[in-house]
Amino acid sequence: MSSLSSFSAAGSSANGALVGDSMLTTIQTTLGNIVSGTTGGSTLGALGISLQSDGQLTIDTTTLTNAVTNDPAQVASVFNGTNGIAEQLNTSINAFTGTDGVIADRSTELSDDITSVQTQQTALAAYTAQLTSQYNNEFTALNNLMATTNENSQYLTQLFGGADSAGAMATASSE
Amino acid sequence: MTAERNDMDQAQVVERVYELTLAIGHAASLADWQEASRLADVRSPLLMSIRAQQTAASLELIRRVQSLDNALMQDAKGSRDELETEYHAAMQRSRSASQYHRMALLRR
Repeated sequence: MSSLSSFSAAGSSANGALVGDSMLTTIQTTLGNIVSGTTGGSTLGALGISLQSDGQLTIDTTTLTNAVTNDPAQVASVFNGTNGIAEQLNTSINAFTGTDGVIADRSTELSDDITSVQTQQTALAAYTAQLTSQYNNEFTALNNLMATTNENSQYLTQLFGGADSAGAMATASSE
Repeated sequence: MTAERNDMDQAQVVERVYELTLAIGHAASLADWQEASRLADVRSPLLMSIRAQQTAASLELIRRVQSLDNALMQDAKGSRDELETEYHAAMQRSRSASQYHRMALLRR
């Protein structure tokens, strides 16, 4: 989970795939609350088991040994089979990973998003191709019109003169 | 007689060239460049068959054709420049949208 939610820099490919994802935060918070909460009148902390900021559990062997030696009933109650830590974690994790769980929901949501973006990409590519074709037709028409008109203008100027030159007829008549 | 006949033909040719020039100008005013181009192709062989010796009336029409063609060339150049600007802007917008899609997929 820590690699999925890791963040190094905006836009970096080293960022976790689910950085900032609310589902991941929910799962982390839920599991964190169970591990650090009170169960059967005691806590994991009282047994020397503590949750680190990176999500790992560390064991203080001395504290744990003392607890097991001096108050085995307390240890047993923290891990009881009805609503002990392990049982609570099991219930929560099953809810997250089940077929209707949040992970499955989120996964469906993400693949729907991907499909939607891919559909938009295809539509955009088609639109761009159509646009290019339309503009090309216009450019071709304009270029042909200008080339033809230019040739025609030169011909008329040659015969009859134009803005800049006299032309064959004007020259002939002045001779 | 033959010279008169030729004069008549030439007068008709010039008349037709003038009419087509007006039609090209009309298509251009509607920015219908496909039609303007098509009409220019129809007009060109007729125009190129105009000979130097013309009646005064035909010569007057030819002057108008020359003047209209000058205006048409200016109009077409301006439109082509505008079209180029539009096209580049449209492609730029399309590339931006495409970039957005790529980022959306990377993010997922």
